[in-house]
Amino acid sequence: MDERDLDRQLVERAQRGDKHAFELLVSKYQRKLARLLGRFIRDPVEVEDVAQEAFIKAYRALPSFRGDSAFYTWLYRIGINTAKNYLVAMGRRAPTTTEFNSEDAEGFDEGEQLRDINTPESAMMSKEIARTVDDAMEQLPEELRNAIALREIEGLSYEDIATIMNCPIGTVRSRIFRAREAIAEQLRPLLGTPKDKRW
Amino acid sequence: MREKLSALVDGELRSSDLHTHLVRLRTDLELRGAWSTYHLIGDALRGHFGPEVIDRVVARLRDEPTVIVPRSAPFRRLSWYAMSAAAAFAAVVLVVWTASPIWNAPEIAGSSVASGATGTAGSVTILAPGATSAEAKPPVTSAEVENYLLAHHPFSPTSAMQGIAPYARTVAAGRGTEGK
Repeated sequence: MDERDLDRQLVERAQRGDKHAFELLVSKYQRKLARLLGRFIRDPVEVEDVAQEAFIKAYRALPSFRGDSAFYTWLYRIGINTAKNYLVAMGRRAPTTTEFNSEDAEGFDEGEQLRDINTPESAMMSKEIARTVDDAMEQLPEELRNAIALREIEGLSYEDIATIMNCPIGTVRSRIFRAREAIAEQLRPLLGTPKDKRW
Repeated sequence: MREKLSALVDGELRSSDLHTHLVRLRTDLELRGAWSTYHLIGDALRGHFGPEVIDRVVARLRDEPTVIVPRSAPFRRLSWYAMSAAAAFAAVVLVVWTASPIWNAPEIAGSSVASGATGTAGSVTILAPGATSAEAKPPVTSAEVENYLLAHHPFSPTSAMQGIAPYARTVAAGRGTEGK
């Protein structure tokens, strides 16, 4: 099973009436979709509104999702169409199709979004989170830091990480988990939740 | 449990464990919070910052009618094709089964003709299975065969399917013998 399989499983559950499964997908892709929309909608409040609308449209359109493409690619198209409609309704220039190339769905230029797509409050929060995560990474033992970096930044599978780090897959799994827990512990005061109880 | 959730987030959980964990994620708020935090950490490490809309989306989803998609349309299509194929196969089997007596009949007739050709004129030689002509019983006259066939015709398995064909053969044989 890979991430695409997991997404498909969640979609199938949502299609059978499990709204919680769809909420897990929203939780997973909300920042990625907001970053995408932030390329074309400058007002951070509007980005939030359009992102929210795009997720609701995606939920309503679940019966039409056949799994021919990855869930995020499908969500990306819905997000783009929602943004276009919004801009047209507001009398602003809608982006052309060449600006929205579906090949961009899996990733685009990074690092220039922070100011544009966050409200002042959420921008401050994002900076705090970034600083906390960086600090927590610095404090991690090297094997944990490398394991989670190879997974989250390089996007490698556990098998590939095990090969690189010359250790069993079970060890990779344990290291990534321990790294996440250590970082999450540092984030808890910031997120204001004693035991990850969010939404 | 949370270690398995961590693997699930990475799509590295075994398929056999998937159902159990997705069911627990429905009800366990702490696990769902961990799911959210793990994704936040991943996004932060990749520099993916953006507003969180999950609370607003969840609030709106509560007011949305629940989506129920009829189970697996491809499966229904597949079962439709399977049923069609089974029906077609059954039809072919039925035709073969009902027609097989017709196909067997010419063999019997053919062997009789062949036997008749080797015997004397106006008589039929009946051979037991595996018997050679040297071991054959004395020839039976065609009149005896005609009588036998006519007497047993109602019990013939081919009569129901062949309509008047058996009678046509009999008449032809009768004319042949009359002519001689």
